[in-house]
Amino acid sequence: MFDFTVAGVEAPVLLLVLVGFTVGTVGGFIGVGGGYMVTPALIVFGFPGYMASGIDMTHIAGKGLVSTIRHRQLGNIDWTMALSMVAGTMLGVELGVRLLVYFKELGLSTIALLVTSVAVMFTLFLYTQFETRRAHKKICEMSEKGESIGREIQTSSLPRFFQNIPLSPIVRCRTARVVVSMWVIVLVGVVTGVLAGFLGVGGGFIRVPALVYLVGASTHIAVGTDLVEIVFSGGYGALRHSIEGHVDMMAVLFMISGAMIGAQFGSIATSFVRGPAIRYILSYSLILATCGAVLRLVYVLTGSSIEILSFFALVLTLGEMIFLCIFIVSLVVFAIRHRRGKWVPKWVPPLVC
Amino acid sequence: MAEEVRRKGAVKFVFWTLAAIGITTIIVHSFMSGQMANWYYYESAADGYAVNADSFFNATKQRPAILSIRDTDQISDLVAVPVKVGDRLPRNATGVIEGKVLQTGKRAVIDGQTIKVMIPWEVVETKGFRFRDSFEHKGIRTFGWAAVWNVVMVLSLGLALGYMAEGMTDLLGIKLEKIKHFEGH
Amino acid sequence: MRWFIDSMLGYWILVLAVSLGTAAVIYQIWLKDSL
Repeated sequence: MFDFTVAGVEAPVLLLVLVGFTVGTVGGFIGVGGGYMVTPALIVFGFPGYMASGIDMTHIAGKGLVSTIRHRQLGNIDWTMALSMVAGTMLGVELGVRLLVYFKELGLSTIALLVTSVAVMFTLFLYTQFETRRAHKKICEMSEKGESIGREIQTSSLPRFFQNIPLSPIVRCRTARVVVSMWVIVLVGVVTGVLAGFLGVGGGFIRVPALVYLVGASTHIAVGTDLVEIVFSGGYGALRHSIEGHVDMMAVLFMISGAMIGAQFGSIATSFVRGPAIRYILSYSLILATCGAVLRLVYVLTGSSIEILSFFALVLTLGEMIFLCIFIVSLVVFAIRHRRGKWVPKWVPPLVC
Repeated sequence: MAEEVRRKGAVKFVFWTLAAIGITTIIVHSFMSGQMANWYYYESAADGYAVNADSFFNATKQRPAILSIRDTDQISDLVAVPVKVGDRLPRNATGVIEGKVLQTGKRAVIDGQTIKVMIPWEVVETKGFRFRDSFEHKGIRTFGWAAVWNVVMVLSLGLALGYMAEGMTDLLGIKLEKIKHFEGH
Repeated sequence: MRWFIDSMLGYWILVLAVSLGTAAVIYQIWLKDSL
């Protein structure tokens, strides 16, 4: 246990480092900050809610930069796309926060907010899971026909619609090989930013699917490009939270000490898998976070009387991070085994390379 | 060629490791010297009495904590220092018991030259999470430039750790090639 | 047991069980008393 004088709590340091490591791994792999997992975990460790958000946001800025540097080396960043989106994202987050304040003044309850986040996460999970299964099946069919399979297979028809919008300026995203109106990218940034600001999250779990399914970027590039956004939005969020007195830098330091290793592993792990594997992990993250939020919602709706619900919500919050980390490690281990011609489960080969 | 990459990797690794150690040392030193706490509990954001919330954490309605009101630069134990908005907080202050809390009289009341604290903290529930709501962090404002310091520190640390890792993989001869996103299409 | 690895759903269930179990142990050892 360590005495965090700024946060005013004693909390287990090893767990902070472990959370940093697991979320660093997950974040580096699926391009999210992980706030929707970390903030509840920090509250469970004893940090007040406002500090949990601030510590999380600040550590995300640093961890995001670690992942971004590695993803840059792997060629997973489209700078044109990233920089086009930054202003839109920041504007969107600010609008989202103001929208939240406005609705709270009108009497928007905590329950309504929880219901909104459940609805958004569940919808994203359904679409991502459904599309990824289709992509997985397509890869299996291509493999049976002996066709050569690339890094990315994506079956949504939405990108073609958005790429055909003729609003100038039209930008050429060379790394992503996407030609699209800059306003589409800015709009994606604004809309995902509004959702993020309103729900009080970083927004990676909304932006990565948006970049894949609306702009048409490959999953790897969506992950790397989104991490660039996270550095900017995390840095801005860290500044705002620090001004409000929501940040304990010692807690941030402990989390980054774990994240610096996790982020490396998660980022490098992307080079072992195809796009659908990353989208599967993203969808699992969404459904588990949805289940945790539902448990908490039911607990609140039942007047906080059924303690077992609170226990299950806690265990799910912690277990989710461990689950995602183990699954990512599994994919890498299976990928290495597959490269060496050793046995792997039959669902693995279409997902790895 | 490989040797050149390893050599450059070694230089990169050593340089950025030293940078990361330096930044970490600055952060830890800020904590150990008390500067971090001093910048955090910087000035009062409310009219009331600055206190050290830990000192009366175990107070109850049956055995309330009695804080003596006096002007001092440093709070030690059960002391409450009168402050107004914008006043620098005394050392060891971790919160401000605001005037309106004392007027309500539910958690703390003024009793002559002392403050009687009956409910130092209570369990609050929001969004399905329970946490302790105490006088810690109440009515305080942090030093504005500390926010900039936080962001500079965390981004510098992220940069140093990122390049340190890149240097390490170069030094170890681990070749990480750019992913061919459109191979096979 | 083979199904838990050969099938994607089975593997998902296996890993989830291990993760939730680990989380429950962590909760019991470190966090139960602080809440």
